[in-house]
Amino acid sequence: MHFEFHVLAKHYPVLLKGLVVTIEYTLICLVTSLCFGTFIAILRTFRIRLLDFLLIAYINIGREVPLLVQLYFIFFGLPALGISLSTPVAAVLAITLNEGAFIAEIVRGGIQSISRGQWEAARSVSMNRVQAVRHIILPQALNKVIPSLVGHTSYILKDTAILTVIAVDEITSAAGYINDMTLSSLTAFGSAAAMYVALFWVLQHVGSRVERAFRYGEVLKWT
Amino acid sequence: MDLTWHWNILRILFLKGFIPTVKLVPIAMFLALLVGVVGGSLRVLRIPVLNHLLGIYAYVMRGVPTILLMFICYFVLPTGRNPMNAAILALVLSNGAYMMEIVRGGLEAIDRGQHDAAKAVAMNFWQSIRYIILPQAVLLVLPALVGQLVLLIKVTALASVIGYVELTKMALNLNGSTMSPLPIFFYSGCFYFVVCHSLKWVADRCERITKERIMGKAPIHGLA
Repeated sequence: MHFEFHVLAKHYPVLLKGLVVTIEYTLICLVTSLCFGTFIAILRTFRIRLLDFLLIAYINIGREVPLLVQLYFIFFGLPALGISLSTPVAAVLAITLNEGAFIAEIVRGGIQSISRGQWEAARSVSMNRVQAVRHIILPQALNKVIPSLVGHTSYILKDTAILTVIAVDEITSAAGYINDMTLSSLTAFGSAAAMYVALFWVLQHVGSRVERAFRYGEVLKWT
Repeated sequence: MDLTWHWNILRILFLKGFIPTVKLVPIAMFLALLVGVVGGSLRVLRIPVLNHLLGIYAYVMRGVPTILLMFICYFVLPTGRNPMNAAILALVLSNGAYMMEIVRGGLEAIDRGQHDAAKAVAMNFWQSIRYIILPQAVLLVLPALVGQLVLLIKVTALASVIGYVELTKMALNLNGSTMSPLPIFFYSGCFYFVVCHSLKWVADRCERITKERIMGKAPIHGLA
């Protein structure tokens, strides 16, 4: 088995389309899971007992059940309950719920690392809890966890590969298609792997840029 | 859909799904650990070309999704189109790379002064590794390794895409024949959850013991 360039030359548009779809899903899921995870982390700062119990249960389930099973549960299970979802919605929902649990824990770690004095200072200028979180705690917490969050983006990129099982046309699906059409496995999957490594490289570079930009409290300036 | 039906589903999922999943884990874990310990030790030695090759291996494995790795192991690498071998190979390749980095991190975290101290009491290289470095390194990396084991167990679900009949594939098959996805995927999720959650409990305990051993039993604020 060897790498056949003529196969690649003939079928590369499929892979390119897959690349675009993978990038789209990665970006969308990045935004949704960041927002959702942060939201969950904020909810946990209120320390309402019942809510906390539910959120901890969600976080544990989200982190300790494989994404594939969660995806099947949402894709096959929710329609059985009468909630019909299109494939892209189910895909984004599954990744958001899964990654949101991880991100919630990361952000919560950041919030916990902010000293109690900051809460008290916010109180002393008569901010309520929501205002304290919004203006004092969250900006500092996010600034602290940016490196971990950047590290986590590559997981979201890799998660999108799993969407191949529900027939989203991303890179892995494209590679599978080319493999089926040409039986040239090394060409198909090898190019796909190269594309993922390239995407991973780009993400790492953008990530380190973001990290550097945020090192001096950029989040603080935004808010 | 009475109780017997649910019981039957659980029984089938356990016998024909959970057991094959569990079969993958020890072999894959052992081999990945082997890759991790050997690779990690080699990386600490910084042998010029080998170090770069191992670095590239780790980088590629961090970039390539495991599901694609499954396909590569099944279709491209010579595993004889045997789903079990291919799945184990994919798990070992990806988790081995992570474990390599964990072991390297653990070994590099140990202060150089420890080496010098061992030399000062006339230990030779192997003695210092055996009595001074390893006991500390094992304590340091154990929690991360158990965490990696949890990840490995979750990733075995991906073996279903190359036709290895394990928990997720069995759930998918049952869903196809009974058309009741909610209980079936719920139960299969429960199996994963119970195993991973108990292992995570073990990992947390390991971490606490490590902290106690290294920093003493005195209550340190924020670490307890």
